[in-house]
Amino acid sequence: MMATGHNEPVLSVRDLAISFKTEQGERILLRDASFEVKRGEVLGIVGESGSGKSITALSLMGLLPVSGRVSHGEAWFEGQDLFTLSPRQLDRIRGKRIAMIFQDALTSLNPVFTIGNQIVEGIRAHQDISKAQATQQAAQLLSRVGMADPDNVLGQYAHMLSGGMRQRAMIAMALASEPALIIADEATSSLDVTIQAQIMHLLRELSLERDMSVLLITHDIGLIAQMADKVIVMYAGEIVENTDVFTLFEAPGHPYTRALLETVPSIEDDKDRELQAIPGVVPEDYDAISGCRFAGRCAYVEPKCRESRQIMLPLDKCRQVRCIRAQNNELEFVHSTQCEASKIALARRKQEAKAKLSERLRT
Amino acid sequence: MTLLRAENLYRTFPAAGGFARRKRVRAVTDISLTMYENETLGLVGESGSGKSTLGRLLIGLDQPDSGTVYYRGQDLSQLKGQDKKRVRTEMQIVFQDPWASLNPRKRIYDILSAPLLYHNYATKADVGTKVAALLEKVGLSPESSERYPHEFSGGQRQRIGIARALSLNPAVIVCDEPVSALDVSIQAQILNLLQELQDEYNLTLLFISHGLASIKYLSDRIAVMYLGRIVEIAGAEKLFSSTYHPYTRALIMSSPVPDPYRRQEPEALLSGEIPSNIDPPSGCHFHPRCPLAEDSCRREIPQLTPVPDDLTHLVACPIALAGGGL
Repeated sequence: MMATGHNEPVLSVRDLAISFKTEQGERILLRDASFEVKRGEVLGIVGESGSGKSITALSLMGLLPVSGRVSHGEAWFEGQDLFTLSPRQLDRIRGKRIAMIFQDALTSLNPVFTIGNQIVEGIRAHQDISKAQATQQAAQLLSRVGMADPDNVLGQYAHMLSGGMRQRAMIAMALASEPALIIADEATSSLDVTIQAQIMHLLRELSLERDMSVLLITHDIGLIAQMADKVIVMYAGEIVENTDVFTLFEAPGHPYTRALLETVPSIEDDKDRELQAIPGVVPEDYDAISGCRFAGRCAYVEPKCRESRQIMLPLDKCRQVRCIRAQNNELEFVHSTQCEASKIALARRKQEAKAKLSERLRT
Repeated sequence: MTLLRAENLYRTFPAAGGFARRKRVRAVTDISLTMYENETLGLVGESGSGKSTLGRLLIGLDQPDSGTVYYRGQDLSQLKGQDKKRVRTEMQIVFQDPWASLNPRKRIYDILSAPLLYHNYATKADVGTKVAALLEKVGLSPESSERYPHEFSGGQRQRIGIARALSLNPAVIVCDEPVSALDVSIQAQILNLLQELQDEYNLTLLFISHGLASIKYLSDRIAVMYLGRIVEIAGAEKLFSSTYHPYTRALIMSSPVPDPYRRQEPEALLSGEIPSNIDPPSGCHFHPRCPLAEDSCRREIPQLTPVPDDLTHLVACPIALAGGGL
């Protein structure tokens, strides 16, 4: 059974908008983004490059490039609105209560300090213990993230490790301060699939074990299925669908989500399956479009879609979409879902994972 | 009909500086391979497994340290003069990075007309029509020829790269990760385009990818590489329905399945990191990560051997062969 406090959101983002200064003046690259991450939950953010997923994460950490700024919205984390904090206050959260792991571990690890040095520093930032004790903890962390020879790795520098080991070291570093939330931005995209699978499995276990929330940003639909509990789908600077992972795959509510699922080849496919490509490209100046931003590529488009700005509305208990035709119940594929069934599937999957984890940790 | 045959190809590169200065990276080790006319051969493996090097060796863009590539029965390295020039036109490549592979200072017209004029496939008078026809073939408007590469999206640039590869009526095209730099919604467009073009022109394709799903979608046969060697080669369906090599199994099990009901479990996942190909493990290169490894695997290099009921399905693992396929 779920412990109390599980339904409390760890992070709650409301009406987020981000704008960037460009040569053509200020452009709004993300708008009207609201979502929450509950405790111990993995929220997947899926979208193509330029859809706004990475800037969403960067804004939370106060890491937007100088040309960008949060122009609207709130992000509540542990009782504070991240966007109102001073740089100093944010420093107490960033890398400590919220940790981030990136695609490129080599640039996130400090090249002139040993791995051990960096992890020990993280541990001692929030625990008042001796260096020796912290070093011991660091070795335990490295061993937990799957390093075969942790004592040796403690004394090594980032460049001495392989890509997969670096990624593990970065995760160990992120874990050192016992964060409530880990943001993983395409963290395994440059790794090979066998290594990616190990790292993702590790993240899943750690989230279960520590009741840690994960914000998983990826373009890979397969990873979403494997990892996420809840999912938000982004397109051209907007969230277009917000649902749970089972509903996403069984009954997507937005035409873009549906098209995206059909465009992805799977090793399970029959060889003769025809891939359904989405025609056209993501519009570049999407902030100038007054109606639905997907209208130009949508198979279900009608004149009214282009007339006014689309808003996020619930279709039922488990799906929110930004599509007037789905909301008006005009799309055949948006059959009514069994939100209850998805909820049960989600809970069962989590329970099974927990059972497997405790069994694995026992042996 | 055999179009290309590689025999015992080896290719090494000097390892980058430092202490390893005298060491060499073994990119391709003892690879023999046949490509038949009109087939798509998929080449899958992790980064650094030698896929791209093998692709380049097969079309003569790079020379092996030893071993021979035969194209229509002729030794590529022995070709001279006009023969060499002709064979070169018949073998083309589409690169992974559509940003780096097109000259940013040239208009699309210049990029596509240069090979046509150089190889006398067009005259000054009709080259414009030929360029327009090529662009239409790959789904771009003829007017695009006046524009520069930066004015196009990644998917459109990849279409231009494909148009360039098609311009000299090639027999073979090596597609080196042609979709991995593209957004998911665009990947399917390019995969479908390659499939259509192959059907229309009877092309022979070598499709290199680290993703099993797109490989399966496009290929007739698939070769799996690990640290410079081919460990399994089979018909595309066969590779998935009766998998032999433990590495192939691991690759299949590690590919994230887009179905939340079917989770990958840790027992199916490979442990360990990919070893360096400067100093690969002895015997079977895969043995340190292999769940089936026995003592003999540390000593003996396994040779590709046909499975009992299918002579076209080769596996370099005596233990998996003895145990039967999955």
